[in-house]
Amino acid sequence: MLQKKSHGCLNFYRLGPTKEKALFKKHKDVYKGIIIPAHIASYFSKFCAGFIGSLQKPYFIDPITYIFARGPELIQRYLKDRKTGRTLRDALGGKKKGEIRRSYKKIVEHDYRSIIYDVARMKRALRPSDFTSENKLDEFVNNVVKFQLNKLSKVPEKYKKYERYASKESKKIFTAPNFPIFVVPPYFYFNSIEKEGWYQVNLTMIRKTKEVLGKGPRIFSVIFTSCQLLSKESKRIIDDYGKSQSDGFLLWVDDFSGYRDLRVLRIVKKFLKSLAEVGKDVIMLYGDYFSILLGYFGLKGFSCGICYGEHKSADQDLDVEGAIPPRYYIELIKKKVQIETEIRRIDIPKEFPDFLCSCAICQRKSDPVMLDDFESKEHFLIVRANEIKRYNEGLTASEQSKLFSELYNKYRNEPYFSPLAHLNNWSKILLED
Amino acid sequence: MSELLKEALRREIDLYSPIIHLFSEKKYVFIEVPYFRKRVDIVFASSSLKNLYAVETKIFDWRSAVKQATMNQLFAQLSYVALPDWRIGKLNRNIFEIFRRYQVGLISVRKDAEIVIPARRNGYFNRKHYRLIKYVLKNSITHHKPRSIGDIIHASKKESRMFKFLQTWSD
Repeated sequence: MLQKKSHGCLNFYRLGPTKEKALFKKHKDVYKGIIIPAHIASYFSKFCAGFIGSLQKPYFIDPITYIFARGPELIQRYLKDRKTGRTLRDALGGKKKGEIRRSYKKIVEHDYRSIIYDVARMKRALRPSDFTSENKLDEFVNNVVKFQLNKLSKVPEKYKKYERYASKESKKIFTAPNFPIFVVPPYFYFNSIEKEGWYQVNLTMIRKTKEVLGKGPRIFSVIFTSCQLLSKESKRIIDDYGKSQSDGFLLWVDDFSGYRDLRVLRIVKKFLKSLAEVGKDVIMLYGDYFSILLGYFGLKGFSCGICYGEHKSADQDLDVEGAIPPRYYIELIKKKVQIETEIRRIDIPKEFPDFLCSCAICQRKSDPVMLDDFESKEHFLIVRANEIKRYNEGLTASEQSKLFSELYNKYRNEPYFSPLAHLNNWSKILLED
Repeated sequence: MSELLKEALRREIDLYSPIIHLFSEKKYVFIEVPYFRKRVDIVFASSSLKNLYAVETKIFDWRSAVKQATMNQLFAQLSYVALPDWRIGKLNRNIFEIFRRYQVGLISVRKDAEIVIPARRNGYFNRKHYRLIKYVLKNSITHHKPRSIGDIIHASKKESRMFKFLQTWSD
């Protein structure tokens, strides 16, 4: 059997809450680049432009156009009682939603405008038929593309004065426009390839984006669909997207994660392998450790949030009330556990010393229960970088498969960490062609 | 349909009634208690809310029930897993050792409920978590109207909002 070797792995992180800024700055060397969601780029444009400019790392903007084709409630905010601050509920006890969230209002009303503004006002979802007018289509694509190229590319005024000082010292300073590494055409979730559906709209969006850009920046198109359709229509999807004028692909399989069952993992692996044969880079838009393993089958890179956001569904409600509780990533078994409950109960140093980590953060605080949110994310960044480094340095698929199999057999009955089926699944899939 | 299949099709909610009767001496019973983004199936409490017993019910997946039950030891003096008796009959004897190792009790449920492995207190009880849950339960007693066991079963099957946090006490 041919030994599967790594093809190199690029990891991107999605910009999230502003307090993550310090993490991105402190650990610049552990990631390839950053993804900025369009509504964040719009609402916090000055912050993002300054942040990206200071980091000098590759970035691109996720236009998140798909969200306007889902129900309008996804971008509406919860209504709260002004006195108590509690969320208002309807007769059935469901949370009530109101106007568009502030973070989306700006992109709808000022940046995308056109058809997006119209449907938001009508409080309905976008439909494929909304793009039958050539004018509306052109206007929409133009706005989305220009937004990506221009929104964060200009150096904020406050940095321009340093150019004068730097030139006096005969030193260089970066004040040139900071363009994204590629442009992402508007994209929408499709669950069929019928003629009048989103699938055809997506392909049209790619063509129109190329018309707007000409010989300019590269285009990476998003393929956002369900696992079932990947299984059913992979050849057609690969043919059509392969022939499109995309320079690469961003793959998002709805609600997919490496922790799903083996049948699902095989479908995604098979599709990816065939897509990679087109000869263009494929990056997983939401990925976890399994995305590193998919590198053996042609995946070039993946992205996620810092210790969150490793999988996403089309209709995931973005308004999760309250912060995500801090979690600790156990490198050996590739699992995250909640610090406040699970880590507090498990006593890793005493019961599972194998799980102790040697990163700089864990060396300072040997019991993970002592880590705060910032530290647990730092630990994740460092550990993930080490995982990718080992992969890039030539760790083979069969070596990883053997390790996962041993770990599964050793810990499968430990209820603290259940389920661990992913280790068994990964062990098997790595040995398959 | 065989008796075994009927049993196998029982939902976790169907285990509640015998379990509630098992702990009939406890003044309060709380269902679906929110706890760090999860929900504890049943929490029994003494009249002063000083002693808390937690029960996780499952039909098949004993592992995740044990996992949750160990987390519940952070706030509950005693923590149990309840499984249908036919499921317990299929478990390997080694698995009973796992329950004993983590001091998690095991309740067998058929028409009645019976404690097969007693729960034990261990050193993981956390005052902060205990106070947090006690506060939530106390609020519930103040703000929620108690319902009968039949109402709970009915509401659960309808999955109505009010079921999320109902309170009752056994007859």
